[in-house]
Amino acid sequence: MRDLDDWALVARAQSGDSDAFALLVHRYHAPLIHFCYRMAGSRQDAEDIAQEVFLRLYRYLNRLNPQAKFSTVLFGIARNLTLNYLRDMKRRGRGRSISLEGQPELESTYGRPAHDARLKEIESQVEAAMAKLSPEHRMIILLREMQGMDYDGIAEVLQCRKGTVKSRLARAREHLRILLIEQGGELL
Amino acid sequence: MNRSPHVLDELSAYVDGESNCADQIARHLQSCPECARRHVELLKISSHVKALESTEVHPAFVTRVMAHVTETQPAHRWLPRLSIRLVAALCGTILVAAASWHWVSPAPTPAGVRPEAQRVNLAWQDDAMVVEALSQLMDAGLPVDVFGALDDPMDADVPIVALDSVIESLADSSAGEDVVDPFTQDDLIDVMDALTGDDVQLLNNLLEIHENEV
Repeated sequence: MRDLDDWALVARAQSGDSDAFALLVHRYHAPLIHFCYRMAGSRQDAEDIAQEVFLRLYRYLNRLNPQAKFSTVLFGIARNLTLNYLRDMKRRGRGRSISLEGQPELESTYGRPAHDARLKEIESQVEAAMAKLSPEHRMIILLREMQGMDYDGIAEVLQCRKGTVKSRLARAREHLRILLIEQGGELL
Repeated sequence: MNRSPHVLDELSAYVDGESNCADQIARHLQSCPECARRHVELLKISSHVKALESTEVHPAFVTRVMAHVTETQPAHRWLPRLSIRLVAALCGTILVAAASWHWVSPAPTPAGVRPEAQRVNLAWQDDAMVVEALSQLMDAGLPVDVFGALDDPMDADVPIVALDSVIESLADSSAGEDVVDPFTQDDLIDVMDALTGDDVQLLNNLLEIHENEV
C-alpha cells in the first residue's frame, strides 16, 4: 500500500480503510507540522493545528475529489486554520509574543542535538525577521521555500491567481530582505 | 540599462524559475551590478529560509491523530455546494450586523479609517454587489472596528483573506449576539470548509480586480 499515490489512498480511506488514512497522515505530518510551527511559533500549538487539519480532512473525506495535488488540499486547510489561530492569538493579546523571535520554543522537548553556534545565530536572525512578516507574507514564503511548491500549487492553496502569487511572493521577499538589512545585513 | 524596476520586480520569479522572460533577465544581470547584487541577495534569502531547521515531531503524533480519527465519522455529501447567491446572502447578513452594531454601539474610529466607509450598500442585485460590499467593509476597516477580525486594514493582502475573516467573524458573532439566527456555528464551519472551490475563486478574482482598480 505504501506504493499507492495520495489520491489512491484517499479512495481507500473513503471506503473505510483507516490504514490508508494513517499512511496519508504518516506521509504528510512532518512537513505539515513544520509549516504550522513556522506560522504559529509554538511547537505544541503546531501539533494541535496539524491534528485538526487531519481531522477536518477525515471529516470531509467523502467530499474530496481528485484534483491537482493532494498536498494543496491539505495545506489549504492548514492555511485557514493557521490564520484563524493567529487571529485568535491576537484577540487574546498573545500576538507576536508567541513568535519564534526570542526562541522560547526552540529548545527541543524531544532531544534535538546541539547546533553549531554560528548556524544557530543565523537561524535565529532569519526566524526573527520571518516573525515580523505579516502572516500572509510568511505563509507564501514558507510554501515556496520550505514546501517547495510551484506557483500553481501555491495559487491553489491560497485560492488566488498565479499572478497574485508572483507579486505577493516578490513583496514578501523584499520585506524580508529589508528586515534582514535592518538587522545588520550580514546575512546578505 | 543600469537600473530597471521591472527586472527587480521580476527577479523573485526568476530565482524560482517562474519568470516568462528568463533569458532577458539573465542577459540583464550580466550588465547591471545592482540587479546582480539583488539577485544574489534573493538567492541567499532563499537559502537561509530553506536552512531553517525542521521541527521535531512527537513520536506519538500519528498514533494520537488516528485515535481521534477512529472517533470521527466522515461527513456525507449532504451539504449542497454553496452557490454564489448563498455567499451573497451570508455577506448580506454580515453587513446588516455590521451596520447595526456600528449604529447601535459606535466604536472608536481607528486611525486610517475613511469616514465615508460606513456607507454600506445593502441593495445588491447581483454577485458584483457582494464584492462591492466586501470592498466597502475593507475600505471602512469595519472588520477591524466591528468584528476585530483582520490584522491590519491597510495591509495590501487583506482582500485575499477578507472572505475567510468575515465569515469567521460571523461565526464568532453567532456565539453571543443575535445577528445570525439562521446559522449555527457548526453551519458556518461547514460553510467555511465548503468555500474552497469556484465560489471563493470567483470572489477572490473579483476582489483582485477591485484591488487593482484601487
